[in-house]
Amino acid sequence: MLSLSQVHSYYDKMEVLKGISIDVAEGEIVALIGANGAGKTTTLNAICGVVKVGKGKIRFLDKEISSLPTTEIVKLGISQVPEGRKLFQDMTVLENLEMGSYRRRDKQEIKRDLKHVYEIFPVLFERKKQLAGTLSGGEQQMLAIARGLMMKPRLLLLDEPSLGLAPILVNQIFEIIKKINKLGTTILLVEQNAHMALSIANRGYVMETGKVVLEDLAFNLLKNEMVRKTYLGIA
Amino acid sequence: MDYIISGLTMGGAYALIAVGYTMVYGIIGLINFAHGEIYMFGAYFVFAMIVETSKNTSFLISLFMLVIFGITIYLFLRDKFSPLPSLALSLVGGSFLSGFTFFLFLTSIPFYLAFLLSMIFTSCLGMAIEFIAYRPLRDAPRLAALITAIGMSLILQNVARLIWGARTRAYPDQLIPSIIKTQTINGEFLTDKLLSKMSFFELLLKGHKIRIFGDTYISSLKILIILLTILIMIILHLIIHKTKIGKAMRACAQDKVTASLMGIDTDRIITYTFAIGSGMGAVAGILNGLAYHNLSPTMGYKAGVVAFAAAVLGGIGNIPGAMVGGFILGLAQSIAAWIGLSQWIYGVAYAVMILFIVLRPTGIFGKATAR
Ligand SMILES: Nc1ncnc2c1ncn2[C@@H]1O[C@H](COP(=O)(O)OP(=O)(O)O)[C@@H](O)[C@H]1O
Ligand SMILES: [Mg+2]
Repeated sequence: MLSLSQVHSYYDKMEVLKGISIDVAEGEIVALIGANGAGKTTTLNAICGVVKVGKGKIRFLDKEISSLPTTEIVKLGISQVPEGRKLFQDMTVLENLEMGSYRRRDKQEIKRDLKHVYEIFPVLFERKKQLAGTLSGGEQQMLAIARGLMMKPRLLLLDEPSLGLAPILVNQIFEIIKKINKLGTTILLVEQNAHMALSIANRGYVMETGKVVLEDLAFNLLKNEMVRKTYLGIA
Repeated sequence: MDYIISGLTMGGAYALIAVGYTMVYGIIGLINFAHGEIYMFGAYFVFAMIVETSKNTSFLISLFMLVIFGITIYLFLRDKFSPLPSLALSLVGGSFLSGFTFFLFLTSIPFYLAFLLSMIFTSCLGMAIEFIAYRPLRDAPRLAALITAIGMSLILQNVARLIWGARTRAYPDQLIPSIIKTQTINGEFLTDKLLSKMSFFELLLKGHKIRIFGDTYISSLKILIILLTILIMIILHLIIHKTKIGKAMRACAQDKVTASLMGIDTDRIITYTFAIGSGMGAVAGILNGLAYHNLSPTMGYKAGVVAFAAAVLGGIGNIPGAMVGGFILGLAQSIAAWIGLSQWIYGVAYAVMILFIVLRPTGIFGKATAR
């Protein structure tokens, strides 16, 4: 479905992605793990066209997307839930969700999806008139995911959805991610919480300073010595 | 009383212009110094349309319009077609439209129509300025964009001087519909007897002075202007809060990258912001032309300076703040004139602004909501 081959990206002159290759097949949950600053967020931004692809190719649904503008890429069915939520703070919960469905024309289905999103996140329904900036951290993360879902994506890119959340909430968020995937959305999940990510993913990639250093089934990565040492904190 | 009404009238114009400054700042972080000139052109377009303009002058304006229309059409077409056909189409479309405007300027058309067309023309002007002057500098240092904005303002002032000359112009009274004329019948106030037979709105529409109490009369034109200003602000509020484009504007003002991740075409939204801001600037220019009968190439600069202060006073980027700021400065200026400081009204406007900034650095409403 999505395939990055030998992608290089730069900030100014600094090479941040040094030729990474990642594949995501339809229906999968793929985890992308790595330390802070490894280039995970940049990878997602390169996919979405927010960061330019210097060298290499990105294909989505058999279409070359590496030089398309963000709006075109989004139109093809990729939606990103950015790191740190990036909500429209001064807009209400409902307005944020409406921004998610901005591109869509299917009014009836938007309504249905909105209902569906409220079912997954009942708290958002209760607070739909509240400004996004006044929600708690967990609620904000839920809104960010819900807004991503309102785009009705075929591929959902999640950037550190567990960041800064209490453990119970982390569990809840991961349950929801699993559920979204079951309902048919392919997911590329970026996480520092490697254990959680790998335990719900089919496959995983490990990134270090702009390179993919390891890729395998999530099940195998959980047993991999290097992963256990570096990312799971188990000797 | 008269001073208060005048202050509110002037303040309304400032408010309409200030909103344009603040909307643009909110969305691209740039002080659009050419905004005052857009206001000026709004007033002049109406002037050129309601009076019979000479062939030479009409030709000059149409030439200017050719450039503006051409750029505007190009900017919309380039998303759909490749550059060359877009360019060709915009040239054809621009020529056609500006040829049409040639006749509009040459002859004299009804005021209302001119009002509406002027709003459209100035919107195009605003969109074209954004496209050629500001968009290429989107990621450049702020100072570069700021200098370009000042340059744009000077260029437009000189274009106006070239077309209409430096002297002051006024809308000819006989071409303005009686509804919005200031004069009373025979130049006199109506008697109580007549007044009692007419309703307030009839009076308003007939365009006479309205007696408030005792010897105090106010011009219905000014009331109409104030009401119209408020109406436009309500419409703007509805656009920004209830329509899809308005919500997208707010989203872009808060976070453009995330907005584009939602599939919002941020460049297009910026274009619309300029269109709306410029259209409101035109309204201010026309209303001011009606109320004060003096059009000059520097009117935009003068009003712009105060309106900018109003936008800062309201907390730049904050739309309701800009509106209130405009009214405050309008009132401050007329109070200054009332106590005999009419030479100092611009100084007073800035003094009030500075006072507010010192007391409330974030603007009257505290927090910049549009960001
Ligand atoms: N806007 C930026 N400008 C310059 N360098 C950046 C920018 N964003 C990230 N970087 C650098 O790129 C590298 C990768 O960052 P990022 O992709 O955010 O990593 P991760 O998401 O894995 O923590 C880091 O060294 C970071 O400092
Ligand atoms: Mg990151």
